[in-house]
Parts: sequence; structure tokens; C-alpha cells
Amino acid sequence: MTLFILGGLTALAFLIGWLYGTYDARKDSADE
Amino acid sequence: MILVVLGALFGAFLFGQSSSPPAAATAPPAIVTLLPPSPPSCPAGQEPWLGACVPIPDSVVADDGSINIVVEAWNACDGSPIPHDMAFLWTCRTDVDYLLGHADPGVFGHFADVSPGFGFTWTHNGVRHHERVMDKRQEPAGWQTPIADATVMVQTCTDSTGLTDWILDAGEAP
Repeated sequence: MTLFILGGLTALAFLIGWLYGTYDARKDSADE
Repeated sequence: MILVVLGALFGAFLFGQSSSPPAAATAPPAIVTLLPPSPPSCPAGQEPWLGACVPIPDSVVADDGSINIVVEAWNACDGSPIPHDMAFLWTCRTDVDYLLGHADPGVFGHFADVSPGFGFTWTHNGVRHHERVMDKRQEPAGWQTPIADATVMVQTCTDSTGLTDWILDAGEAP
């Protein structure tokens, strides 16, 4: 159960990082 | 243990951030240019108006300085004569409406004389009407102020919905 929660949190962290990276790249492109 | 978990989450965050795709090149906004429709080529004596050919009214300045414009009242949509004896002449100026006159006695009055001042003459169904050019703002005092801008357009009343059709006529101010 603990491993399941940790895996979900890790996947959620990966998704948040992926979305933040996409947002950051778009913002930099718009600022140019 | 907690540090290991937080480190794993932060590592997943960094890995996801580095895995995100780069921003696609922003396409330039499409530029849409609306071009006016090409005016039709009209025979002599006619000019394009609203996609159709309409007669060009004669416009003359009388010896006494009045502006006499011979206008055949027609439907701006199909060029047909207006079905009843009612037409209005207005200036093309947009800052103020000048009612030049009309030919519907009993509605706004009827001006039969031309001089002095500006005036126009128009013909409908073979009957020539003489109208004085008056300032609409004088209503209802008597339409006593002639105006100097004789560029007019004809507004015909062709149906029960009201005054809907417009025809431009370029007159010359003295």
C-alpha cells in the first residue's frame, strides 16, 4: 500500500514537472 | 526515509520537466484583407451602386444660384422605379442630417418653389417636382435655412418596412 502511494506521488510529481516544463517553454517563447 | 521519498518526488519532477516538449513555433497571425467587390462595368449614363448599375442623375446649378438636380427616383436594390410617389433627398454628410425635401405632400410638407436659395428638381412618373433645400434642424419652424452642401443621396420608400433603400447622387455646391 505504501509503495502504491509513493508510486502515485512520484507519477504526480513527474506530471507536474512535465506540465511546468511545457508552460515555462511557452512563456520563454512568448517573451522573445 | 522521508528524505528518500522527497528526493524521489523531486527527481520525478525534474525528470518530467526535462521531458516536456519544447514550445512549438508560434505561427504568425493570419492576415485577412477584405477587398471591396469590384464594381460592375456600367453602360454610359449609369454608375455602379450596391452591385448594380443605376442611372446617374443630372446635376446643374441654375443661374440664380440654386441647385437643380433632376433625379429619377428608383429602387436602389434592383433599379426599378419606386412604386409610389415618395422620395427623400439627404446630404451625404454624416455629422448632421439635412432633409433636402420630398414629394409626399401632407407628411412633412411640400415645397413647390425653387428660388431663392438652393433647390432641386426631380421627376417621377413624368411629373417634375421642385423642392427647396432646407435644413432639417429647422423643423418644424418652416425649413427656412438653405444649405450649402448639395451632395445628396436619395432615400426611397419602397415598402411598408420603412425607408430602406439608398441611392447616392453627387451634386455640386455653388
